[in-house]
Amino acid sequence: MEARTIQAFLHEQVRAWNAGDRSAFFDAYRSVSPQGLQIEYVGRGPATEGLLVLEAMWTQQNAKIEIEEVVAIVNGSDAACHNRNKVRGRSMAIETIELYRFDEGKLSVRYFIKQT
Amino acid sequence: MSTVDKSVIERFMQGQVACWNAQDKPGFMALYREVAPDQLDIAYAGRSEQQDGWVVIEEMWDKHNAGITLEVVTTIVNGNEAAIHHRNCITGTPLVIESLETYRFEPGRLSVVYHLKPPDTTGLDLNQFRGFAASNG
Repeated sequence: MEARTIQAFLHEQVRAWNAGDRSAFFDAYRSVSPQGLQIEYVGRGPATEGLLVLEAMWTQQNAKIEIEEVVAIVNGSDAACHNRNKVRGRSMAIETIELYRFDEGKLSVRYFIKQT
Repeated sequence: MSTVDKSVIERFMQGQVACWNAQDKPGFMALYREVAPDQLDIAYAGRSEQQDGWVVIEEMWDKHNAGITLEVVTTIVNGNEAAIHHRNCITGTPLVIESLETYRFEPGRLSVVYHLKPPDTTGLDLNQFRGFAASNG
């Protein structure tokens, strides 16, 4: 996958999340993972079905969290992002480093989450 | 499930930055030997070739320690893995190489992956850095 396609996905998912645009958010994921999506929370067990993870994340967190992109790096078919997940209406944020691997229509995501 | 104690991982992560910035090569290498007595793997994201980790960090130190200072943006330890965001500040310039790095600790073994973002400039020869030389862009 081309670097600019990956960059566009990374920014679009954040834009859609912050705008509360559920359709655009899931469309962005479907566009880069037509063959499957796996998501792993590092240190909490193996990767699981990604769309289920995203559905739960959206339902539980979208209204509460706004994402600030700190840096996004694309190297080949791999991307890494440092995001600040800011709790709306409060001064606290949850730091995440997120890894994305794009491989022949499949996307594997790994989340590192800083414990507060 | 973590197989390496979190305190060991945190001491390594903090120690390597402190030693790098203090130009303490023996201390830096000792930290790596402590956590990776059996094997050290270092890879650059997006590149298929993998070098012996000891060769990579020896070269990194010798070529870049005098010219780069590390700033820690964040460090996250989850289970037996760590992810960090560093700003690699090029001495005497406003230029910064952003790096997101992952470290997987297993008993006697450490596997590292660097994700590197070059500075926004045309005035720096990126080929001097192993992670950018003849790379994917």
